[in-house]
Amino acid sequence: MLSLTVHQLSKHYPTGTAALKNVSFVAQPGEGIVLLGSNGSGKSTLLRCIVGLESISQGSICVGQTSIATADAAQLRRLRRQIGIVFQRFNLVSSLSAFHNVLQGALGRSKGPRYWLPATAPQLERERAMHCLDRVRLAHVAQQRVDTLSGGQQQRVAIARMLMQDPSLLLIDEPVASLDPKAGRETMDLLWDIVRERKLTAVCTLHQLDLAKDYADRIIGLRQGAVQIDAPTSLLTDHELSWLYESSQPLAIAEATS
Amino acid sequence: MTELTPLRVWKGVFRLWDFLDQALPPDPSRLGRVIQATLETFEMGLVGTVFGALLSLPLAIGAAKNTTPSPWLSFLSRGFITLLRVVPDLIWGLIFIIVVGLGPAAGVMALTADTMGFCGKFFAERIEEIEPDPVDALRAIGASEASIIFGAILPAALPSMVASTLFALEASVRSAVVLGLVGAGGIGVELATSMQLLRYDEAFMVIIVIFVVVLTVEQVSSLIRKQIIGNHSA
Repeated sequence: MLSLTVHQLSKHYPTGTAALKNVSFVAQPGEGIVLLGSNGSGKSTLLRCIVGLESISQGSICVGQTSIATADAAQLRRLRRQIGIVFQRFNLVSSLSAFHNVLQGALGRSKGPRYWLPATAPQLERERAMHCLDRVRLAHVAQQRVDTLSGGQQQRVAIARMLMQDPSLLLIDEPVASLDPKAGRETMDLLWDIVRERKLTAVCTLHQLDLAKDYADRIIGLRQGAVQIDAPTSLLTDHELSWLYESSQPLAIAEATS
Repeated sequence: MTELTPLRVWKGVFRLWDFLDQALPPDPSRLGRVIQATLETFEMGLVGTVFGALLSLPLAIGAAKNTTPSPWLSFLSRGFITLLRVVPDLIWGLIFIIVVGLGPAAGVMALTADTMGFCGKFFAERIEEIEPDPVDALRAIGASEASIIFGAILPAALPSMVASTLFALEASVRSAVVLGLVGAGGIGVELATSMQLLRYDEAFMVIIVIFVVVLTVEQVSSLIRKQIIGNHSA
């Protein structure tokens, strides 16, 4: 379990577009947060900033006690080992088997070329990888190339890879956006089971209101890069949440009057 | 170009007739030796291509923008690949004949240099085309640069790299014939000798054997390439 502190974070692209404006929040250890917002609201950029895949323009991000912006390469690698990510488009290596992809979850803690191939990886890690695949109920397709699996199965392989990595903080980027509604529900159930059983701190971006309400402990609503809502799920009404999705004109008025 | 007058072309047609008249029927008396020398040419092409492709791999990783350890190394690798490409294979042959003397060793080295110029460029381009998402995912896991190259980049690039190498093999076998003409071993040496002795019937036999070998290499190579690309898209 790790805490996550985002303090007055801003992110500008070289083109001048502001992706994030003055975002602040603290995720307590073991808390499951949903970042809610429409497309282009800055949710994914925020996640990429947290793991250091995007640079920060202003403000700070601390994971546990370590600041992302000032970490050197070795610190950043150590930090990333503790942060698991589940991506919208799975980001698996499509020409490799499901088992090989899961085994790559160990690449953060292992040094040396033994882990590059399943055949040379230590027996212990291979058993762990198989166990992780079994946890997402995909042990039967372990040797299949991932590009032959369905979208839902691929997302579960990505979840198994995350399990293999064994992180303390979990970032989930639109896990259901590339899936049909049924596979989406199953994926969310699986993810949240894992979050609860491993007591992970989780930050999940979503754009579906109903899913957010069903799973989140707390919802942070983003709109045009700024935090509009930050409250425990039980205290939020549908009316407040639907604000996030209204066309820009009415909200601009709402912002001006509030 | 100004010397290419209609009269010359007209006369040339008769000379070609003279050549064919003397060349036919081809003389198979030295067929054993010719086939042996052609196999040597094929081996030169094969060995040169394999060495060239293997050496191209680190060169391409150093040159590609998304895998290079430093922009300077990328610049140097690119420069080296360009140098290998702009010098024609025949000139590499002449240079290596000075270095290691007449014979197939010079031919193999020339073909290695030539293949590195070709494969280095194509491998680097392929590496740069790789989709960045799986690479991001492994980087986010905390994988080292070496594990990322071997875990995500090479598996995705390998089918196309093998296909490029097969193209290089076809080109190398053709080049190996010509390299023989300047003394770098193989069937080219036989062909040059027969031509200089005006034994056109022998020369014609050599040309037929070369034709069969080059055609076979191209057919087999394109068959393998189709297999790889077929599997890749499935």
